[in-house]
Amino acid sequence: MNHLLNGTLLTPERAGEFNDRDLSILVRHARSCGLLAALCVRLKQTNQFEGLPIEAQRHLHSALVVADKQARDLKYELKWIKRALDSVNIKSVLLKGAAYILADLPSGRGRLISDIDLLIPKSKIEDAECALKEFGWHNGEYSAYDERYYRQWMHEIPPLGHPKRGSTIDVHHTILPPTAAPNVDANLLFANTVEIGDGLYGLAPIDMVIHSATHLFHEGEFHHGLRDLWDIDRMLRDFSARIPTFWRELAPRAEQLDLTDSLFHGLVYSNQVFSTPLPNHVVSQASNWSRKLKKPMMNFLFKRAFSPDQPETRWPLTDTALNALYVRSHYLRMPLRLLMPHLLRKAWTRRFQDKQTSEGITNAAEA
Amino acid sequence: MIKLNQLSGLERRRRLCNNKLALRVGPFVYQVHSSLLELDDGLGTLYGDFEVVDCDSFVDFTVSVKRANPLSYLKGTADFYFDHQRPFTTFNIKNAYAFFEWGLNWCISVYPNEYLTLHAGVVAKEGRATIFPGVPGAGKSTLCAALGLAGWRVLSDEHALIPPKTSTVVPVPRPVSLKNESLEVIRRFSSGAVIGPPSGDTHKGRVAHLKSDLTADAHERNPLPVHSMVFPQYSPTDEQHLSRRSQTQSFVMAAFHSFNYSELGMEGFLTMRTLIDAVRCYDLVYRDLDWAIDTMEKLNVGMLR
Amino acid sequence: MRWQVSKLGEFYDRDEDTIVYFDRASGDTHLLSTFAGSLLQELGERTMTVEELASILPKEAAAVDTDQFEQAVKAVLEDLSVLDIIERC
Repeated sequence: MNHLLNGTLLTPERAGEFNDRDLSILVRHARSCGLLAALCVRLKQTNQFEGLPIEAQRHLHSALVVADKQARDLKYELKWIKRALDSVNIKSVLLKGAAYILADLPSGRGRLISDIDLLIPKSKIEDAECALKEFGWHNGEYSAYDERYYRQWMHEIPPLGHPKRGSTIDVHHTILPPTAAPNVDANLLFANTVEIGDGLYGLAPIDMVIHSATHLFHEGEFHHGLRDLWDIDRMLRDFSARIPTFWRELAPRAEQLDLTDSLFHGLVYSNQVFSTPLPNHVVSQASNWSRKLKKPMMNFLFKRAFSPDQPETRWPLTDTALNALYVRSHYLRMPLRLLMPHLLRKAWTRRFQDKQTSEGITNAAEA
Repeated sequence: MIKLNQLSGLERRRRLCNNKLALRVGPFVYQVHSSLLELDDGLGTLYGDFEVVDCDSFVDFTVSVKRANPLSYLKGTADFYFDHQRPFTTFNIKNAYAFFEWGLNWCISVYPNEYLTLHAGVVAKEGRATIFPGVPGAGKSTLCAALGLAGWRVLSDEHALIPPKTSTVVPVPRPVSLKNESLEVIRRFSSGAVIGPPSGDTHKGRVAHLKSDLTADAHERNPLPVHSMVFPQYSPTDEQHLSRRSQTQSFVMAAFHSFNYSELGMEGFLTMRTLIDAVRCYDLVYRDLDWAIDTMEKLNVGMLR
Repeated sequence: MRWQVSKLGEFYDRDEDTIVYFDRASGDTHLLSTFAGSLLQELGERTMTVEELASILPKEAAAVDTDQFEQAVKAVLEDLSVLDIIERC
């Protein structure tokens, strides 16, 4: 699978040969996938940025401004989150984008985030919620249904928002909902956390990769599919170069966490889309694993999820495929009897809200 | 250079329908696509003097207004697309033109960060620019429109683009959006005003757009030095006046009405400081457009302090 | 109790009643009274107590006695700490 965007992310030198039309398509694709700032970082790292026409530079630069702003805000928010959690003796463990940025990983450079994900032991989640509320975060207005959905079936409490600063925190007590089939022992994750900033922690590198893959294949956020896969590619390359035991320990750890399927999905697609180098023993493990899967169906779906949803790269039936993936990822993590009412309810609520906010454009257009 | 009004109506429509129409708007190129007649009408009326750009050149924003699916024919709705995705909710097709204009604004409000972008009208005369920061409903668009019809150059009624650490502003000319009463006010003010397709019941009431690129230099792209920052306030009851206002308070007010001041962080602060330090800030309370224009003329030539 | 500014920000001062202050840490921009601004400038030099600050700042009105002035300084410091511009150390 090769298109303009993933090709340029991998080999930024290609950008030097692009004409204006190619460049504007590249910018549009990257923007639509949330990868424009990451692309800018890549082009700068490889000294390709300065040689680009100013028209392309300024879009890349503009996206980086937003990513930089988010990174600054993140660090400021973390100061308060740490204070809040320290007050109840809870270690601040960051997940996903926030962790990549704070740890200054290659996957964190130019990474956009929409909220700050925290991992808190289940037994301490109420203390954490109280402490964060003490420091100004609030549960927004949620319907009783949403509230129950979050607390009972998901691995989260409803997101906490800071009304003054506009930040959002998602508190998780594990990396998969308790209703999902795999049985993740969160204690194993906590046991291996590493310090990634001043008194702030993240998952161990191997766990980070496994979580990233798990998130991608379980959370239904396939509209960020390519970006999340880029995270995985960056981490695989970075960690395997720095940690000699990385490849040896990766698959056994996934097995220990009961997340082998997710990990291999991540490895296979990262390799397909971004040519991530995998050692031979991992390739053979992956192909053994993939023989057990209903692969053609999955390929059909994922090919679409990992391409920009743009005319030049759009596969037939992309919308259907993305919806099918959404259903699939809920299916993976919830027993069926729970799945059906939730999806129906979601569709219904969405329609209802659309109606209520038919003036919804007001703010968007005026903003 | 080809202007849109140099294309035949048929050719314009053909390009618009086939996604082959790109227009230069100040520092940006929009590729626009629609098969709706309202849009073609509006472009024909209001964008005649805009430069048509080759679609193979760099396109900044790809926008279209179209019906999302067969069902929207029945429902009489349409959607705005940016980068082939829909940032807004569906709207009534009667308001297509207004949503198109808002959509074009939205692109500039959200994406470019190579400028400090203020929500403001910008006009100029004798090469000196005045910024009207926008408090919605304060009457900045009406004032921009009237000044435009009185021979001033309108750089924008929506965005003041300030290059970093300068006190200059980059023109991004577009039709001026007029709502409800101001539409009547402007029609009365000038019988020659060219006004585009009206939109009915939007959330802002009735909206239509005024062709405001009337000066010979309307589409020139060089930045202009900013001479003053004026906070206009239309009031039918208060006494009309122009008075100096606090520079520091104006700073914070303009920052508050900026689209990306806080994204830019320190650079935003430094740019705003450079800008505010180079200009004088005023309150302008007006009810009579002729008086307001006369006052702006005097201010611009240094007859008022 | 001493007060500190962890990283002094940028000012825009035009000899008006108010100044603009850009806080590097939070990225927030504040409109502050000139008095609060001069207090902040002093704290930018070194950490200080209320008493130290009161003794080096020019009293705004001649009639104000030291006690009242210290109270005023303290109130402004509290306000600045609520805005997370300064903190106790």
